[in-house]
Amino acid sequence: MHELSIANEILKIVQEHASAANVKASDVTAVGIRLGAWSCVQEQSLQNSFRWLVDQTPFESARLEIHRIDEVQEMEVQEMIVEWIEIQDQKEEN
Amino acid sequence: MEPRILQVRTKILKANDTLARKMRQEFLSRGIFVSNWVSSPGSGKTLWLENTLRQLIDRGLQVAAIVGDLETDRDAQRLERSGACVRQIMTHGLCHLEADMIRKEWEAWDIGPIDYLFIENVGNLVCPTSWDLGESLRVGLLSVTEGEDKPLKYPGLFNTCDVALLTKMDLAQACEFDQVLAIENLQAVRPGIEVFETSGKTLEGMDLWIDWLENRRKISLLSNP
Repeated sequence: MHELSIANEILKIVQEHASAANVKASDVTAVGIRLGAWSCVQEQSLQNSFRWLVDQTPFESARLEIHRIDEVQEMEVQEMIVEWIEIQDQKEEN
Repeated sequence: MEPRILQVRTKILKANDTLARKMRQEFLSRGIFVSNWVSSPGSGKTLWLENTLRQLIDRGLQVAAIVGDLETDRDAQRLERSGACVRQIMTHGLCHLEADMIRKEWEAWDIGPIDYLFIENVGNLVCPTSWDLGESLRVGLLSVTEGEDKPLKYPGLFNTCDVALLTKMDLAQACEFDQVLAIENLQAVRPGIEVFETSGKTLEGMDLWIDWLENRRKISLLSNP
């Protein structure tokens, strides 16, 4: 259940970066996450926690894309990183 | 319109890690050696910690402990029997301690100069793994009743530990515990880890442990004047 704490930290990072880049919360459509092999994060639990946090908020369009690194040597095995945010700019209405 | 990508590349627990790093520097600058004890529930953390506190007090050192549990202050009461100052954090369901929880407890604590601060984490072999609490030493405990394969089943947690204690060694024979295999398994997930064989009942391993701990504290303080 520590995934809820992790999802909360992900959301804070997304809010911070979206705000700094003048991106509307509703334009964030995906968040790329990279998890080390021994990061002790259960993916479905993280997905559920994130969904629970963003539901009925301006970030509700955002989905998590989790990329797990199974190779123990490839990166820090405990690493948990927000890699990128996908933004779908809304069309300007005339 | 095509979606665009905003590169972020930020550690998810950056806020916790930044705070923990600051706390570690602050603790060391005050001459306080902090250790974070992690294990499954019932591994013998509290008994071994109680004995450790008592031994250090007998050597004239000032010690304190913060203990985390979901509910009750039973462990704090047990640790207080040693004569140490103890604070209990009740997480009310949260499965791990975070740096900010330790900071809040520490800042609210009217305590004099101390040499050691021990943090007994919530008993759990998964969730505490990722949270740095500002410690200089992470201690992992593995009791003989849990079996030799626990490090292989929970590599994430044991990989983060600086030292491992095999506990309840007085029960090893009854449990047909293979300590050679247990140590091999620990080394497989955390090469080079120091391992102590201990018993909270008989105090086997206590003198070696206390000497090692004292050595680590002195080295740590010398490296961070």
